Amino acid sequence: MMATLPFGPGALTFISLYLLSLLYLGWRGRQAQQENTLKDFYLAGSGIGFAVLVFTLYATQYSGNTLFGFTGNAHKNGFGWLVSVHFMTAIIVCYLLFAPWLHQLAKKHSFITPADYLTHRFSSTPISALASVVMIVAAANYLLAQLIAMGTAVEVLLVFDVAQGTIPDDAATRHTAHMAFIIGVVLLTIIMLAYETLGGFRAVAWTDAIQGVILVVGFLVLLGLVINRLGSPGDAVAMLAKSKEKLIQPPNTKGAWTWLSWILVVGIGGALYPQAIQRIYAANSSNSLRKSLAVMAFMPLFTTLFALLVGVIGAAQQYDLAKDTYLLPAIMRDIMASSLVGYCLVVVLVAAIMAALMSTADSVLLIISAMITKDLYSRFINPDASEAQLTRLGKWISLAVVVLMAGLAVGLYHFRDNNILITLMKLKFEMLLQLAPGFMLGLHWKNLPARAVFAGMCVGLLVAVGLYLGRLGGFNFYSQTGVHEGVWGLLANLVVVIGFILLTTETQRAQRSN
Amino acid sequence: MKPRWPIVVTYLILFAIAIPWYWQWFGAAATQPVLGLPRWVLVSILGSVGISLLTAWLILKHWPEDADE
Repeated sequence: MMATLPFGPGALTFISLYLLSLLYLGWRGRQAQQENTLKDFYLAGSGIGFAVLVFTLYATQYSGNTLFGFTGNAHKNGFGWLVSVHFMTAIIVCYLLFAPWLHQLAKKHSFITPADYLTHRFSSTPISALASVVMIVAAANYLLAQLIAMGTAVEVLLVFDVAQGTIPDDAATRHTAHMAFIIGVVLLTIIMLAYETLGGFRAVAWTDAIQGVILVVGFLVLLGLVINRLGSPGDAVAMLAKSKEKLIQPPNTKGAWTWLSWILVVGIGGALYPQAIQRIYAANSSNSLRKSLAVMAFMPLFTTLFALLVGVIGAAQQYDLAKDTYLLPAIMRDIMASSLVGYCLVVVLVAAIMAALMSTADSVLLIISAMITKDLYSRFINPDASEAQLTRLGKWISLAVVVLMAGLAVGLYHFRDNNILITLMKLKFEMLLQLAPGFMLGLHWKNLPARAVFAGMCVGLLVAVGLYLGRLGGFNFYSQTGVHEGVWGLLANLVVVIGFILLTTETQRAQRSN
Repeated sequence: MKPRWPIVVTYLILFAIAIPWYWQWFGAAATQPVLGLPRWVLVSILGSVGISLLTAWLILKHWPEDADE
């Protein structure tokens, strides 16, 4: 039997108004445009102040995965997933290593893309080109994952059945689910593309501000509702101690290494997300940037920790779920059925889920467009193109990229749970990590040679991606060692950089003595 | 930039507290509830609060204003 759609006209009107408000902000962003240049379109003229910056950083950093994936992980691993609080905090710690200097250089030299800094610092085409390709691939992977998550979120929110713990398997519901997925991907993508094309970074940042506020409210509402309906974390711990004790146990030695590995891989990789670097460039002053990052240092305690507690409380309940990521929809359906207030608050939560997904996807789409336009087209194909031509091209590239990715998302509907696809889509931090020496050491180590950085990047990428792809052949280096492949790649990367420098110094010394 | 070793050491200590590598030797005391949470979880969260406080303090008080190339 087909599942009944859970939302009434009031809820659908609220969500529609919210989505329309994003289009309105896109139109206002277009009106606020000051000049037809790349800097204005991709960085809002580097004029983003504290209030908008903090929410755009927040909304971009916390994606739909925080709501669905993190609660699901906590449901599966219990307090072992507390590592998520630490790795999200580690991102801000890693910013301390490069953000202040990068922001000032970006102001001085009008950087648009992350590769602009590398070009300025190393004057090396191979480094800039390889870094651009790595960031485009990582960002495209992330965008595809967000688009699939958009469709999945709409599908699950509409047709999930609590009693069965999954989407019912009858033909009619399967058809509705498929349609919901396609509508979710297509509708949200069109809205996102519309406001982004209209107002560029300004529109993305302004909509992020709205989405960030909704997201913060959503997390508060979520934890409040869950505690009210299912009991406190203390109750959950007491129940888990009797039924699933493993979920409240600390990790063993290998588990602790895995925690450290998570902190390194997400801390460094997350700080080097190209859309994050774009925001460092877009801040109107170092004062705005530092105040925003100071606030961001505490956000894991109000976001990731909340998601963890929701997952742990859910784990103590007797939900029979086909997938751990179904925990959130199961809880939401439960709360919706309990009272009118619960129903209304869940509608706010649905808006928060859409906000989380769209705010991350729009930022990633914009930076992919910027990198293809500026780093590849303008640099290698048409260096004489005017700013207006490049800006226009950038909008077309956004359209092409999002059509391709949305098409892939829809086309891969039946393969979403395929291990190969999941493995490939998770490949981003492993690659981004290999850019760390160029950004973090390059800013402070004046004698760091370009050749050492390039050699390190190549070796790091080969090791990290090579080991990671071993998962496809059944060789999972991560599960064997407890340490992510990207961390091994970074170690190899650093060994090559340092070895290269020592070798060069030794050779120069020998030449001088001769 | 010269690394400020006291800060580096403080970070290392805070992360060493936050990563619960040492609780496996505490037996049942590790999971004993304190404020409703297992003791090791509470200590790990406090470690994270410490990291956030240190980071915010560094950002607000020691942000390099005259960074050059």
